[in-house]
Amino acid sequence: MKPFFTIFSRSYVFFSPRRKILYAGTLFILVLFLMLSRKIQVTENIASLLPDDRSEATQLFSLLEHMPFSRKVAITLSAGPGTETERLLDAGRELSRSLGPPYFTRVVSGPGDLADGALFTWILDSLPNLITESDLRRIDAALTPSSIRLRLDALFQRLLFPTGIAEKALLREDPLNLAAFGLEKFQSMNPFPGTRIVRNQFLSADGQSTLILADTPVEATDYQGGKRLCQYLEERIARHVPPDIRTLYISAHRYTVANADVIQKDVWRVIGLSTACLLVIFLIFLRHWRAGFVFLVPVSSLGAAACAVYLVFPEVSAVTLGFGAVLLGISVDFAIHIYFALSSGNQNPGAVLDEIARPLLFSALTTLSAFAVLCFSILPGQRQTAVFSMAGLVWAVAVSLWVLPHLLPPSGQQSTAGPWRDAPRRVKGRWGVFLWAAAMGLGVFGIRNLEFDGDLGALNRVPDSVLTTEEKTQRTWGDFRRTAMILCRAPTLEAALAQNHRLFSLLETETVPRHPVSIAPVFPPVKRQKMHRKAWEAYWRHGRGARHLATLNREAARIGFSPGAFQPFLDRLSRKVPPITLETFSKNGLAPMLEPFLSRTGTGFSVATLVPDTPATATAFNNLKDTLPGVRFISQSRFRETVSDAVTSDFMKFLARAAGVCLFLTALLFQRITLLVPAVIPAVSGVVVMLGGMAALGLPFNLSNIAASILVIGLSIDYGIFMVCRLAGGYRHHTQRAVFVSGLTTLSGFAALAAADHPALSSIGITVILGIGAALPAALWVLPSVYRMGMGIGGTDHASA
Amino acid sequence: MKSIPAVFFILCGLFSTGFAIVSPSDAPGEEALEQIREAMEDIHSLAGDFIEEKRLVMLKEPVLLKGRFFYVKPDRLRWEYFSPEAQGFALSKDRGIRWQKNPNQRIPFDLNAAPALQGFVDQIFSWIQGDVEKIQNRYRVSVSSEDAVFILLTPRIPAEKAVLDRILIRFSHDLRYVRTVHIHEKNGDTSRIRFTHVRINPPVDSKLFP
Repeated sequence: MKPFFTIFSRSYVFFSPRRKILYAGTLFILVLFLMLSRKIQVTENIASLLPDDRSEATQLFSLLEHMPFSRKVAITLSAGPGTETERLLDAGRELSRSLGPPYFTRVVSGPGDLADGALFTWILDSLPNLITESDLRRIDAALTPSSIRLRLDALFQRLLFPTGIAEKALLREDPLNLAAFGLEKFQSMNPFPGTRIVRNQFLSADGQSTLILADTPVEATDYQGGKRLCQYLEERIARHVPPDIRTLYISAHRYTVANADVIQKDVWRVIGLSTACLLVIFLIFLRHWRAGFVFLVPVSSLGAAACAVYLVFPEVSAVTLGFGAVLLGISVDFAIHIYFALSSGNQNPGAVLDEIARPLLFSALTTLSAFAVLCFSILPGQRQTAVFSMAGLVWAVAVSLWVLPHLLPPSGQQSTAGPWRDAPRRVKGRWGVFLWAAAMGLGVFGIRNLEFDGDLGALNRVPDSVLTTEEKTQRTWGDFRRTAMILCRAPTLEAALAQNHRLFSLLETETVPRHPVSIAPVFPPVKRQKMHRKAWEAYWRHGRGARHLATLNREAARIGFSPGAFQPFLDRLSRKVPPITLETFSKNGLAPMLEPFLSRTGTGFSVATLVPDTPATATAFNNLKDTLPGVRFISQSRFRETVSDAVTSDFMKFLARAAGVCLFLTALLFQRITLLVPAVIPAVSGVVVMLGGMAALGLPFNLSNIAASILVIGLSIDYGIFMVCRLAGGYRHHTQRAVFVSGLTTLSGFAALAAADHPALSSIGITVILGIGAALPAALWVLPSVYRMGMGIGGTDHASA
Repeated sequence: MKSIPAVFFILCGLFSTGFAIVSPSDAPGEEALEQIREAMEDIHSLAGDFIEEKRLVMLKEPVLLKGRFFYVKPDRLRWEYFSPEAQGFALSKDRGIRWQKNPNQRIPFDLNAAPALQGFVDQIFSWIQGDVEKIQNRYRVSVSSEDAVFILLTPRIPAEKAVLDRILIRFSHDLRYVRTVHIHEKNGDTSRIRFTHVRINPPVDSKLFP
């Protein structure tokens, strides 16, 4: 191994008289980084935080995007005190007219053609296809001689009323009000229970609010697009809605924008704060102007990392760049070790490099391998972070070993740290070990209470204003935004409708969910329609319906109606009716109302049924799914659970692999148990205290800080490697101080992260502070004692020499 | 309600009783409408009785209806029948009450949720506000004068054309009042309304409205 590690000392000797070439080469690469960095297009699409493999989570996410309200912006206009309904509806109509491309493709403020006379005629035409046997029984119960008489009396009065001219034709067509039975079928398609339709616009049950639903092509996970969408909408609201009308809007974009805004603010604050902390630490501990070159190592590693991501991935996520703060804290460690190693006395720098290269490379290797396991993550963002970090670390190590030694002041000219700036002195003897063991015991004891929160939503930071809007929208229009979807897919429309019809029938027998929103009652499969027609014809021609018609004719004559008054109705009953098809809907302008429910897929058709997204609904579906093969249940909560499960299992695997790889590399380096045990003490201490501390603080183990725990293992094992190398190698350079300072730089970076507003970032910060906060003292105080105890059993303590 | 403009013209006729200062003879349609619009400006309230004879294909015999109306600018209206059965409605803005048979058993309603009635009321109010352009957009207007002055309205909008054939409003010779409004529908139905005891700007009891 030795000849390999001397490559750096030999390189040092080679470049010593040719430093200008080395500097020029380094500068050239840095300029290259700079040029490439200018080409980087940062995307703030948070889709990188969601799985992109072929897992169930990925499929669910893709299906969720097809949910009726997933890409809709719900805009609620509410009347202030004294505002007339008409004024409110005018404002709603005006605003909906003002919304258009490129942010909105379709804007709906009411059912459109549904409220027109065309719907009424269509319903009358379609009754034979829609009315079930159970409906016929209800019709029969409603049609008694007295009810028919009363109905005709009322109808007579309506004819004489000023509105009689408008209503006359429909009254002739439907004197028994059979359309009501057809119309109630449309209730099953209404996702807004209690909503009224006034002037073709949605009006809330209390008459105080109107609703606009706007389709947008902007992806819910697209931060920049979402931000522009919100700005566009707010500008339109300010321009078109009078000030006495309050306007609220809600969509997935608002959550994305709110979250990303917080992260963006946090990222700059964290990078600023951690940079400032680094500078302060440098000023205290390095105290030489050339120490500025140490600082350049992490800064330039950010450039290297960003360029690597740019070259490997089609787009660079802002979330990945946000990880730069962490990279700053990690990559500076290598430079610090070089700095302190070279400042430790009058040794030949080449010899120092020979000594430091081995632990430095191994510690880099452990950290790299910890990140390398993330390359296999199902989350594209994590894979990008892995490449980003690995590239940055490789650059930092390379610059630290090849370039930095030439830039640092010659030995003996560097600042001498005063006693207060020196690393803490080690705690003597077995007391330190005892205290550590006690702390470990407490930590392990505490781990029992550690909770796991797999909910991705818990990592969101949503402003109160967004939550209040969501709550008000829900209160006014019902919980339509949080519905789940049951999807029936089949190669043909008829098969999909048949499956959907069966689903609807089965759901009706379940106690939950109540009132599924479905097209089944309005668009039954053709086969079912044929059955309905047969029953309808039999009822009116030969059944009890024929008797009701006789009553109708008799009572009409008695009241004063002419003999042909209701001939259009009688003609309609005897007319042959074709089945309802997609074309029928289109021809009558009713196709838009099917759009949210019915879609063509690459392999056929899919029909959606909306149900409340509750655990009870999921249970009900589980009861049904065996009888409905191929039917899928898609919901936000199920998606969250699936993603959480997938990501958790992913990370647990990576945690184990990272720990295994780090242990393997450390074992490979030391090859003796008496060296390996003390070397892993910082990592073990870090993990135990981290988990125990989280339990004590009530901080759950979540999807964000699982990633941080990989980092704790990777970093703290480095401290162990450096310390054991120093102790076993008997080096004279200031390893202990280097570990101390690099620990401080890491802690300062994560302390900045812990101060972030976003729960995902702050939980990483707190977790790493706990871990590194324990690993660092363990490396400085406990490790040497354990090492000596080990050496007392069977080894040589070079450190004591 | 796109196809029920008739009653609106009943009122249109009523309001034109304020034509006293206008010379009516040979006035072209547009000019006549403009004169009506000008006359509207001074009207703050209206009241009167009416007798309506309906001959409908759906009914064996013609029906004679008697009733009265009240209007207070800008948005209060009461329209009621006394015979053959009591029924009617009254409005204040978009708040309404409706009754059938027993005027004391009032059913409140929101005008916005009653599109047919809303269309009817909208037309009346738009006329009172003198929206001549709206009228001309919907109807071709022609005026003739012999013993009395007639305004003949024929619908332009296809939906109305399908139902309504023509409306004939007969004014007194000096345009001081409307005598009758005759509505002819395509299916042969007719309504003939005769107005009596029309008063312009009378005091109207606010209790008549909701």
